[in-house]
Amino acid sequence: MSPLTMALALALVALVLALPHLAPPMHWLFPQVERPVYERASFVELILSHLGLVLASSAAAALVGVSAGIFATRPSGLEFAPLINAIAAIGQTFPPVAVLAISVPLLGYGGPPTLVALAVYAALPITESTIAGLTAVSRDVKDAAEGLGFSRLRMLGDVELPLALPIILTGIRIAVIINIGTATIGSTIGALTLGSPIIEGLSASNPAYVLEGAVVVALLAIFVDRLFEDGVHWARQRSGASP
Amino acid sequence: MIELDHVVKRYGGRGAVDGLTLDIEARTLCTFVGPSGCGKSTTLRLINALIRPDQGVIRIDGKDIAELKPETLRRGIGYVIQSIGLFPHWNVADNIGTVPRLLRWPKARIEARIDELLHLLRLDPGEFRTKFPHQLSGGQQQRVGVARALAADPNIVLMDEPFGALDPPTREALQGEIRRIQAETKKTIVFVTHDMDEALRLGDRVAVMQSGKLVQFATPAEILARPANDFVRQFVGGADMSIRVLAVARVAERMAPDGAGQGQARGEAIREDASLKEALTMMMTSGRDALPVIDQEGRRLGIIRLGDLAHL
Repeated sequence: MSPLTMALALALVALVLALPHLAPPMHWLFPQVERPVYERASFVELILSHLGLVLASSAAAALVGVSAGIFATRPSGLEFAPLINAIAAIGQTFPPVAVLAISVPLLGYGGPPTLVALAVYAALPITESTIAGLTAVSRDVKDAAEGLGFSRLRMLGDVELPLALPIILTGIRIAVIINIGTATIGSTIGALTLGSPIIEGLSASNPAYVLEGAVVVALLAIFVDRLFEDGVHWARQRSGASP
Repeated sequence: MIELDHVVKRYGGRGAVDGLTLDIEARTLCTFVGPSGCGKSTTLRLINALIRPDQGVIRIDGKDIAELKPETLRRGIGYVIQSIGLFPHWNVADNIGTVPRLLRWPKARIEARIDELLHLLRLDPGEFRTKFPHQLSGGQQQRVGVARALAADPNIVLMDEPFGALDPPTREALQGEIRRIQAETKKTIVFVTHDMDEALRLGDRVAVMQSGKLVQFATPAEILARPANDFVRQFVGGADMSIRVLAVARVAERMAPDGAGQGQARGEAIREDASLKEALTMMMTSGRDALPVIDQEGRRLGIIRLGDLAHL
């Protein structure tokens, strides 16, 4: 972890722990608001629930997306590659809110529909980046691997995936960052997330709630993004792409 | 021994390899040479089953390779390509140890073998073991490529224009290494090149190909002395041919032993395995018309005179 990432993590933890004690300064900032600190659920609870949704949906999306990407680049799946690519590309033009809205009539309100909507949406960039990463592995390296007697499975595990990893990680990074933002909207359909204070603040004309939720979720997104930056850097080094 | 028996491989109706029959003797270096698209690389890829023939049989030590699992076959055959294809995410040691790992050798044996090969390719293990491919020069990369191909001690090594992308001095140095390694390890090496000089310099026998067919399969001296047709004659270089003979023929073939009434030669000696071209160069630079000849251990063998170089 780089020093910046570490500092962001500390800032995030400090903010979440300090928020319940920040009533006096918030009062001063928003004098017209009666209760300026969100108390319906603790911020620790909100951030854990939010992260739980993001992690579970991203993990499922990574599993589906990477598998689809691998399938589309195997000889047996090659003819499906254009179709899979088209779905991934067109799917991403849907705004994430729309995906969330579609899942409600199918799955009702609360955490589960949010989870499914996030997972479906996140699978798209991961599929796309997996196909891009595996396709970018140099023909020479694959030729050498085949000529030296790698089986298809070992070629995938020992050569193709490690070399594609930086690009795949970039796709997962995009997916996770989108999910952190989109999960806040999950509160409109009843999921407990960092969006809960934002939504409630908007409907009850309480800008203090909006500010608290927004700052925490923004800090979380920046921290996770830096974490991926470190991860991609590490993966690039391992794949010999940079010194 | 590698036997190709009426092998045909077609691409889009055209015979890339068109009824090729030849035997490559074990423990010799055979070069395949010809212009682009003559089928030489295709032939190489047929031998390790990267592609399958449409007709014909390829046998290695009497066994039809179509009956072997391709992975098993390839792990027993070294493979070097022009683009080198080192694994960029593995260091030099891991790259060289690739096939032994696939064959599940014990770790200690793999490590010992890696050092042995780095020594064989004149790369210092202390310096190079932990380097990554992108930290090496082109010549060093291909040395590692050759070491990787030799790692599991295969009887056969296939080389597909391995030095084509290297600068001339590096290429010549590596050609020297291949000759030396072939002499030391007695591998069967099949070497594809489009460079006639390289083919003549390295090959015990040279297979000249044109449009998927074998035009001539003979020793370098034979090819230079009696090209099979105009295509070969032109390919070996018309007027420059006699100069090429000098580069191919060895001093040992033309020298006279001591005491045969040839007189005496003084000064710096030439080794019997040097080429006639080197002998001529030495004569010209030192202003002598005869050189003493010695063997690898430095023992005096005889004499070579300017006149010995000229008769073909």
